[in-house]
Parts: sequence; C-alpha cells; structure tokens
Amino acid sequence: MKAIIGSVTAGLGGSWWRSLRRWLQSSQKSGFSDGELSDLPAPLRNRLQQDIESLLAPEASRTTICTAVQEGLKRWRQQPQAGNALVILANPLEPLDHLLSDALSADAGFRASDLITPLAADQRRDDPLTMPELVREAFRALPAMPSGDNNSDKDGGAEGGEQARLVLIPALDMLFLRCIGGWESIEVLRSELVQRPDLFWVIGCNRWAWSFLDAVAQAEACFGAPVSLPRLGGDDLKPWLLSLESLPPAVEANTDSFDWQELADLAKGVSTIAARIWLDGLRVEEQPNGAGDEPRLIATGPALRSLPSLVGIDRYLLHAVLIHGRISRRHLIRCLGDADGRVEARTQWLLRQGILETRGDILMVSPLHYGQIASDLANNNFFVESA
Amino acid sequence: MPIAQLNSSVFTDLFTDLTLAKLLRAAIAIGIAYGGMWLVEVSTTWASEKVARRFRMLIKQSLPLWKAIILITTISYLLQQFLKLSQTNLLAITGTIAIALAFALKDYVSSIIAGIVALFEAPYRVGDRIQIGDHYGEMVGYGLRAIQLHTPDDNIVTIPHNKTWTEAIANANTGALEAQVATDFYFDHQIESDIVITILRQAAYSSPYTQLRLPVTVIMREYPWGTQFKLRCYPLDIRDEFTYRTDLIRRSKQAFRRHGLAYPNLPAGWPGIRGESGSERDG
Repeated sequence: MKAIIGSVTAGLGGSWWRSLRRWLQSSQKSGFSDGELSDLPAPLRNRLQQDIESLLAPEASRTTICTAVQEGLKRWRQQPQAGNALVILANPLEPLDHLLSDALSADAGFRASDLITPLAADQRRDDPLTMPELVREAFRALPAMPSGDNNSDKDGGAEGGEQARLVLIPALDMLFLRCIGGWESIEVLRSELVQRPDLFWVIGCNRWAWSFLDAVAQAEACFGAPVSLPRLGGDDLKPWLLSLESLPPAVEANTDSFDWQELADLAKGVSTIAARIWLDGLRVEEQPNGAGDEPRLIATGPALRSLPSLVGIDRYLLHAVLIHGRISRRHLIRCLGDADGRVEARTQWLLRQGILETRGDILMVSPLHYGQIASDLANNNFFVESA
Repeated sequence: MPIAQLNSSVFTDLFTDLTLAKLLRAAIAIGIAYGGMWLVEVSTTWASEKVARRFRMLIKQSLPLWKAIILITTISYLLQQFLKLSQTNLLAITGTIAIALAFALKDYVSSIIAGIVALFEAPYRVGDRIQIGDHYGEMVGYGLRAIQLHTPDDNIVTIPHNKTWTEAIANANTGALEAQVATDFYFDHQIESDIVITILRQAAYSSPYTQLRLPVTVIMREYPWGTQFKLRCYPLDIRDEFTYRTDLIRRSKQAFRRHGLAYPNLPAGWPGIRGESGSERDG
C-alpha cells in the first residue's frame, strides 16, 4: 500500500505533495498560534548567525572528506598513474574552503604546515584575463620537486606527518569567470598537475561550476571523477544545530516536535541552507507580564520563503551567480554583458526581493530561495549542478 | 416516376425531418464548437507561456489535437442530427460531396486534408521555428485550413496547409526548445585561424544563452577574398535566436579587437556576401 501511495505521490510531483503535507501540518508543529510568537530580535539573530558560521561542519561531511582524501592518497601511493588529484564537490552556498580545512586539519590529522594552500578562496581578480598569471605565480612558490625518482618519496601525509605533499585548492570556482579567456587558469592548473606528480592535489569546487567546467574544459577527464559531499538528513542536522553555544535552553523544549527531516529535505541536505531555514523559523515566545529574563525561542516551520515571479533575464543572472558561487557585480556584468543597464537593475530588484544577498560587493543566492531557484532553472532548460 | 417525386424520395431517404429544435441544437453545437476552439487556443497559448520552458512545447503541440477532437465531435453530432446514416446513404453523400468539392472547394479541402496529414507526419508543430518559401518564424497557430507564423519582424503570416504538398519546409527545432544557430565571421587570409577558432568556441561557451549540453563547432571555408568561419551552437531557447546571435558577435568582436585580427579587405564595389546556406535568417 505504501508503495502505491509513494508512486502516486511521485507521479503527482514530490515537491507538490510535500508542500501540501507541510501546509496541512504547519499549524500543528509548533503548537503556537502566530499571535503568541514574534520575530527574533536583530542582535540575537546576528549572534546566532555568527555562531552558525563558526560551527565546525557537520560530522557526516567531514567524515566524507577525510575518507575520500585518505583513500585518494592511498590509491595515489599504490598507483601513481591513477591520478594525483581529488575533487570534492559541494553546493555553491556551502563554505567549502572552511569545510576542507576543518576536515583536513581537525579530523584527518594534517597539520596546518603540512597543507600547502597556494591560492586563497577569494582570489578572483578584477581582470579575469590576468588570473592565469596569478595561478602560475602561486605555483612558483610550491616546494621544488625532489630530484631523482619522483615517486620514491610518497610516504608523507596524514599519518606520518613527514614532508608535506598535499596541495589544497579550496575553491576551483574562484579561478574562472564565464567570459572569453576566463577559464585559462584551469588549463594552467591542469598542466601543473601533470608536471608535479610528486604532489597530491585536493580541489574543492561547487557543483554548478564543475558542471560548467566539465562542459567547456573537460574537467572530469583532467582531474578525475569527483566526490560529492553527502546529502545530510535530519539526524545529522539536529545535533549540529543544537550544538550552538548561544542557543537559549528553551529552544530544546520543542526539538522533538520539530520536523528535522523536513528541514533536511527543504535544504536539499545542505547544512548552510538548513541552518538559514531553521534560523528563519525561530520565533520569540511572548512572556506573560514580561516575566523571565531569557527569551524563550521556539522553532517553527520549517518552511521556505515563496519565490517571486522571475523574468527571463533574472534566470540568466541567477544561473551566472550559481555557477560562480560568489561573484562581484563587475564580474557579473562582464559575464552577462550589460549594454543597457538591465543586469544592474535586475540585480537590485533581486536584492530587494531577498533572492540575492551581498557580502560587501560580493553577490550570492539566498539559502532561503536556493531550492526553488534550482528547480526553476532546471525546469527552464538551464544547465544545472552535477548530481 | 416523375423527377420531382424522385428528388423528394431521395431527400426523405437521406435526410431526417427538419425541425426547429434540431436547427436550434445544431446552432448551439456550432456555437459551442466555435467557443471551444477559441477557448482551447487562448488557454493553451496562455498556459504555455506561464509554465516552465520544458513544458511549453508540449502544451503548444497539443493545440491541433484539441481542435481536431472538437471538430470531429461537432461534425459527427451534426451528421447524426440531420442525416440517416445508412450504408447506401453514406455512399451517396460521399459521392455528392466529392463532386461538389472537386469543382468548388478544391483548394480549401486540399488544405484541410493536408492539415490532417500534417498532424500525423508532423513536418511542423505549434511552437516550431519553420521556413516555408520566403517566410521564417515561430508557428503560433494551427487552424483547419492554415497555419500562422510569427516572423522576426512581428508580422503574422498565414500559410495554407496545402503548401506542404509542393513546398519544402525547413524546421529548425522539430519540437525541441533548442535549434542550431549558425553565425558567420569573415577574416583576412593572413590571420591565425587557431586563435579565431578558440575565440569563437569560447564566445559560445561563455554566452549565458548557450545550451551547454549540445555541441559547439566551428567550420571554415575559403573564399578568394578571405576566410569564412561559421560558428554553430544552440541557445537554451530558440526564441532567443537573434539576441543570442547578437551576444555571440558582441563577445567575439571584443576578443578579435584585443587580438588585432584583420577583417577581409574587399575591393570597392564587391558584391554582397552570402553564407553557404543561401537562406540566411536575418532577424
């Protein structure tokens, strides 16, 4: 019977069914009516946001990275011709650079000095045509290749802590821009990999960028099959989010009634998105007669914000932002071309609608809208993230 | 038997009694059919523009089917109302109609039959970009007698279905969202062709309109006055064809200028250049 219902709901479209179920259940979940709850005060929201950003990545993600790196290293030592690179893919909203350094230094046992990070994660230059030179320059600073047999000294690494041989490129997506000549630095990296078989390269990349680079520069043929971060479930997210130190104890009161699996589904198993949805659903319970010092926080939802209607150019713009993960306005205009100022105008509109967010000059897609945007782009024939 | 009596006998054998109620029902049926056709046309057009792109063609292509269902249902109802449909009568009616049509409505019926044949052969479907004769555009209507094309100049051109008997029909996308766009570039013989090919390929890959799942190719051809490079690639949506081509040219020209690539130097009075296809779609 369950199988029949499952197939019927799949036929109806899983997301519609989930939306209906969510709508039917939404009033029961928190057990509070809207009148009793109010929005989080801004200082508390900011503090929680900062704490979430400083949290160690969920254990499942870190374990996947460690296992993949250790297996990759082992394979490389046994069969050097199998390839000296490991690509790890994550959602464009995931801070993969932090995640990789957390996993490699805290879990895999690599000391910070063992990891060579020649390129920081925020080094997309103003002029993308100068990026190949930046990459070449960074690689000139790598330790020299040992003389003699290149493959005779590969015993260093995590367990031994001997000579550093692991090069970390935390964000491949920061090394290119979708314009003519914009991905030549990827070719520089590819040739460096071939010239330096004595080094093992761990490369982080967002899934959308990887799909693009695979189409235009045959990335998978050059760097090997990538490993994707796991899709997190409710059981992964619950302990991760409840480990926040700044969380008032009262929040734990409704953790059992909160649907963590629903949160994971809405977030497509991505920790950053889940954290934002969860934070967006936190409410302060009104205290009778103003009693009590600590605000009582209640987790409501989970729910996504509705996506306003998009016009054609919005989709091209959002697709460009997702391919690059994070991108400045200047680079965005260079990607899309903006002879009549429409890109600038639509960027402002998307920012006002909360679909895009900024950090300084850098634009990124809001985690609260990511899932709907990804579906919308896929339905509109766009080339989306690799599975 | 007198002729008048014979005619009267055939008439009563062939047709049912004519009453006011039947006439009223027939009028209502025709009205409903006409309204239904209009409603189907409006609603499929509206729905196809509201849904995600990947469902657009599916909805548009269903239009002729809905119209055919309405038409067949209405005609069957009217025949059943006014005719005694015995085997002999059917033969008599078919013969009479055939003779009448052969003389009076030949082209009209030819178009209707061509429209029905086209439903099965599908040389064009609603939403396709097609070229018939000198007319190129998106097919926006599929009527009983004719189709309608929306041209890049924003004209609606009506073309009878029976053109399919005699004219070649070029269909750019045959039901898909994408269709190949070919863009020509011309250079002096002395330029480094590898640089041009790289730039053109990257122009296609970097354009936000490009469908990256489909191939990008550059082909060359030599002329006495220079070298032709033809970039072949696919936009995400064929409706963006002309915007896409403009974007490709804009990107490429920026890079050509950066590399100082020389265009052909044609002598004064040289005749216009036409691409190899001979039927350029100029937007």
